[in-house]
Amino acid sequence: MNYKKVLAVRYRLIIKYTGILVILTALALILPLLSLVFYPGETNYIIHFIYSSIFAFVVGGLMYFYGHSSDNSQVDLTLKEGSIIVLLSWILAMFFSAIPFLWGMKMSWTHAIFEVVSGWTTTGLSVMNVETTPAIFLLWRSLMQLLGGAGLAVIALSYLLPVHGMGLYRAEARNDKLLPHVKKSTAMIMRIYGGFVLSGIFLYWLVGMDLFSAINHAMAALSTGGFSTKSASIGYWPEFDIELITIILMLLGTINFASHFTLLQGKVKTFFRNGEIRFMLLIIGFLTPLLMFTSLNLVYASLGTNLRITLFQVVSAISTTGFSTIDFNTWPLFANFIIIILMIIGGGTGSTAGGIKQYRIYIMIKSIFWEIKEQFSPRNQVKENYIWKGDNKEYINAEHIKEIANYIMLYLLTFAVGVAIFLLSGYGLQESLFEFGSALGTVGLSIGITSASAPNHILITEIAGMFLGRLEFLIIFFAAIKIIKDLKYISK
Amino acid sequence: MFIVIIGNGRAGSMLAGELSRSGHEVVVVEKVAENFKRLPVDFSGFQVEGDALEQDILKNARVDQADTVIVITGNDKVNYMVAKLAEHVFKVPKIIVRLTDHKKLHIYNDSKQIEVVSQYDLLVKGMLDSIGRIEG
Repeated sequence: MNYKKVLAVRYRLIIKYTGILVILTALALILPLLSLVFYPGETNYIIHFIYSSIFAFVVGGLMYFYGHSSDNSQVDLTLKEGSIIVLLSWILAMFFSAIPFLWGMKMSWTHAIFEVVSGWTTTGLSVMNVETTPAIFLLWRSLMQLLGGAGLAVIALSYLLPVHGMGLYRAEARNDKLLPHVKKSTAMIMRIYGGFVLSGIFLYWLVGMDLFSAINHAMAALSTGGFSTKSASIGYWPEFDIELITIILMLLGTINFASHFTLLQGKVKTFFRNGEIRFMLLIIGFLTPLLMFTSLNLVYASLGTNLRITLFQVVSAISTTGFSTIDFNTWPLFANFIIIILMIIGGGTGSTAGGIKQYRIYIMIKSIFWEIKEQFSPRNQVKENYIWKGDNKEYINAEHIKEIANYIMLYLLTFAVGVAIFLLSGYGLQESLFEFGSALGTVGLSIGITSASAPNHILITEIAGMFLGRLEFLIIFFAAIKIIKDLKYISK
Repeated sequence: MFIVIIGNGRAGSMLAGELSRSGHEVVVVEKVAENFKRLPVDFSGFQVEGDALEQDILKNARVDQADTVIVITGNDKVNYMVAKLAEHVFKVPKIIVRLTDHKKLHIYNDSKQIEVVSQYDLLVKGMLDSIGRIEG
């Protein structure tokens, strides 16, 4: 068999898997109809969701049958091929998700795509006015965050796809193995995630939120998305217990699923030995009082209010959720600077969060210490550096540190380019850093630039930032380079 | 089924790939980290780096919870030692061992849980079968 035929077989498999993921999107498009239970009057919007769903189903089905016909059941997917599937299926899922917004809400393409990308990437920036938006669209936004948080490939791997899928799992920016088989790992992730969402809904409902908002906010908080059904977001409810539940849910959402798994097994000590968890608790524990007593005490007079608001915003930023209870324009520069730094650091690896990820920052900080220590150790000393990850010591070699340093460099470069585009459009430095940092880290906090009146190229820059940030850059490059190389080969 | 494979050489990695592909939970223990590269890309089990003769390494690989342990290194002495550890210390219900030198088969005579696969016996049997096919 010559290489062109090999490629053809593999691409058929890629198309087949992408088809399955598109069918999954089609099924998801039916789910918003559940909002009719709460708002029976919105029946005139059903048709847009049904049509988009059928459209997606037909396209997905065609792709599936086209790919299925050839003999490729024994092909193993590599990471690069997994990347192509993830990239294609995310783009198609976003396309089909945008259709109801186009037809039902009469939004422009840019606005609809922006809203949908913000949903799937669990960002939470919005160009819609939630007060006038029908509930069915609000539920669809929250559902996109719920599904985007877990990741299409993870959902598919857990129950739908045959097992040849390690490349696919890794392509969606997940590396952690909870159990020694990818299907069991993903099924466990779905169980943990689903369990948290259900308990979140119950807790919100218990403290007096109406059920529809409870469902939406639980999904948005755990997926670290941050879409709300109220324009004042969580601030709409003045009760402290709702804020507290939100803080807990955001923290749960930003913690690695593997760490949740160790905690659920009852290994509390192992959970707290994990460097990433310690690092996050240290940041929150150190920066909250720092912000409170150095700059925000000028804004908020009472100590209680100050603590509530600061803690909530710090957790919202580092977990990359993006619920906000206040207007960041009223905050001093120093406070906003800290929030920007938190958004760049981001949440835990292998969670639903975005940003550079605490794990990477933690390793790089440790690596600086290791380097200094090495200079003061005996010359022939043999030492292997490690961190704790679950029950195992993970040895960190130079190769691993190189990968992390590359990623951080790539992240910061993209950040610089994005901010430059904002600055060229005439926005201030603070606003640009804040808004693009928020988009790239898939956070969703806004200082006011993102709105329906923002120019299109700004929205497109943010769309690119959100997309790159969620899928962690490299897999997009892998996918694009592989497609270009293969196309070149075939056309030769 | 939860299977621990000791040894990730040519045979071990192939077996690990097959078992992982057919849906089993697989942990592979291997002394030389470089040998993990032999595993196929869709192997989704755990990899434990270390010497299987150390009980801590076996514990790390969760041999105590395993349904089956497959000892497949190329060294009979190591295989025997690990199989016995799995049988007596970790009480594994089923152990499958690779045997290189078929004259040593009797060393496993006293163990009920251990099943022995002797590679040269298989090879010779395969050859004889081929001859049988030619003549018959």
